Amino acid sequence: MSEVWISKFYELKDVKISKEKNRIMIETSPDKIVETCRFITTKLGIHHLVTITGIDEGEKICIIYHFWGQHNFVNILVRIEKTNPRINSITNVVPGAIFYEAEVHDMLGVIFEGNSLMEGRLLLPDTYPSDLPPPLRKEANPEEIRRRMGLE
Amino acid sequence: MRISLKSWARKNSLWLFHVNAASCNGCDIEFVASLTPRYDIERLGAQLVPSPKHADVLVVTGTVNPLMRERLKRIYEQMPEPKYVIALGACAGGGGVMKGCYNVSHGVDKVIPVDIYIPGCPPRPEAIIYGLMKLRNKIEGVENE
Amino acid sequence: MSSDESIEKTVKETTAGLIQYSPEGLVPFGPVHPALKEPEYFKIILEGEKIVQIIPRIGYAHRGIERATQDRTWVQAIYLVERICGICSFAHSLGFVQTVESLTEYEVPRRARYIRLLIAEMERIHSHLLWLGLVGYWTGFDTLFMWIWRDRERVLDLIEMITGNRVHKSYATITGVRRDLPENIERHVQSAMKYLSERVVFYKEIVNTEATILTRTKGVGWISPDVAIRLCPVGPLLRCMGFKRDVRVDDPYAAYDEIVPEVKTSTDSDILSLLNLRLEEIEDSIRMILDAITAIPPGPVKTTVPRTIPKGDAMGHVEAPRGELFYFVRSDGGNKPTRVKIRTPTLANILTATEMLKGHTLADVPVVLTGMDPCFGCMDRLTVIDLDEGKEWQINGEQLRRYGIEWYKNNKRE
Repeated sequence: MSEVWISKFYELKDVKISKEKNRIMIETSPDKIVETCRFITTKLGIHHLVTITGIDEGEKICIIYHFWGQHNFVNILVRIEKTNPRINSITNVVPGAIFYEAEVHDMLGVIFEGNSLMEGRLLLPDTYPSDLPPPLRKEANPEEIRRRMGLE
Repeated sequence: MRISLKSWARKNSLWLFHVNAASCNGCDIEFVASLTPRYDIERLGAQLVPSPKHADVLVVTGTVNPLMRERLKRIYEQMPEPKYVIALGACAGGGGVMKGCYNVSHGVDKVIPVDIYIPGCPPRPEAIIYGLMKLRNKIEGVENE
Repeated sequence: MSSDESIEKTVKETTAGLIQYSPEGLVPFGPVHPALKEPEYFKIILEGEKIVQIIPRIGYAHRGIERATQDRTWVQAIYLVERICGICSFAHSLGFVQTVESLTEYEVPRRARYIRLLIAEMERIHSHLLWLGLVGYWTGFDTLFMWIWRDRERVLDLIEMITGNRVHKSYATITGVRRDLPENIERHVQSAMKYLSERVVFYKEIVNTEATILTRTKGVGWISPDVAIRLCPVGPLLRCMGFKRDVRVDDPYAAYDEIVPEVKTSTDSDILSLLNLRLEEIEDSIRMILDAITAIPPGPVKTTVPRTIPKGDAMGHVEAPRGELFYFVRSDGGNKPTRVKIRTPTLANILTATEMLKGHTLADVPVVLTGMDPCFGCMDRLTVIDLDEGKEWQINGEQLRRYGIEWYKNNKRE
């Protein structure tokens, strides 16, 4: 990685950056996600979003956006409250994010404001009971899901 | 041993309709491979048909997930009698490695009645041919040992 | 494209109407419109003969594997993860194992890295040949399908000799591979590769001269590279637009730093170029396998398979036959994974493939969708909605295939 490229990261404000081999992690707050993604696509010239990972950590939900470019993984980590799981969608900056956000919405119940797929289901069947927590949450129990969906 | 003309005709021209009910495609590619020149089940009179209305045998692979259950039942009802069902692979037989997942049925026999189970993950084309031979015996009325 | 307005404009042109398509006068519908009781795989909206939009719904193969890995130990999770897809199962197990290894301090022995490269390239050959046979099948060229699948058996024989199984190999393990190569395998590998390289030359000639294939693939499925890059495609679909991106070269793993692949690209981003590109990739894989089998070093094939993995987050990717396959693993120091996130290449390519189909006819659907190399179940069931006549009907994969063949006998594409 060239020095010029590393120095571009200092333009971001209020972030925590850590680097290990070719994996760079930018930790920031959820309201700055669109701005940080725009930085990555315009200033760093990285357009390839690999995927968006959602992890249930108990009280917070951790969302990691993985970008790959210039021989490095550039990741953005944000944490949102489980009691109000909303975050801005980045589909205006990265159109390819539409399915990845819809997957996190289906599996963890996070609402991405501005993503047009938030009303329906992408992966789960329509018979998935709406009062049960989404399957990747810690409180979800596969046996109960099976029983409620009528699978023996 | 006497065999009726109908049974003889049926067992020598099995028309298969293949349904992939949420499988990893491993069983499907071994099934399609059994149609290709090295294994060639077409020499036994079996062939693939495009619609369940023309089929004698329904070959099901995969862990029937909720999106597929209704569809599978409807396909089964569209088939004319006499009809047979082959559950191909470990997932179709009883859940396989996916047992316990929140979105799978533990076997095709929870949805429609099954005549022949072909185990394997995935079963080799030779095992598929063996399963078809067992089906022919069943149609003929010969005891399967 | 650096200004915000042009970015927004591109977004509106590409994802506009993905769900809320509402032409003047007709009923708008979403992914769960009340009139469409059955969840379909693809909804195709036609205006006259031209496709205006395709809406995919991809819950057909969802089995809940990411959740299931949390109930299994690290080694059991390998066997679960390789059954996500039967065609690229070694790529899945390799991706998972490499990501987990980066959390430990163990080094993978050199011999194991060469063996991993061998099996990964053999899997690439088998997957590309399978795909080529399917293209022959979808375009009505059944003989090509039968020939190619017969040749593919030679590769499956090799894989079976080395790993013991044809499809789900269960061969990779944490810090290496499970067993060593059998004796005298070089002889079998060399004779199979010699046979295959002659056949590939023959298939290249067929693909570029046979009218059945040319009419259905030349110029079909073109998309502008500037638009496509914002939709984040991967694999041969990305390379056929001129982008030289391949995980084996950008981020080398296994033995790819010593046996370097030649990344092939093309600039006409249509299906014919995809055909040629995959045939060239098969030739390159043959070269790499022959180089690896002569240069393979002696040594152990694994270091030690640990029971628990140290705490941390790791991510890794491999180049599966269809594109970049990404794994994210989080461990809490125990003997079971806390979180495994998998992104398959087909998911990354669906958006690009549906955009490629705008303006084409129904007869082109099988070939273009197969072009992105999806899994079998994708094509099983489609709903077609004809806006002009105001009606809709269901069609399954086999009927669509026959429709496509008939249409091209009687019509020509403009």
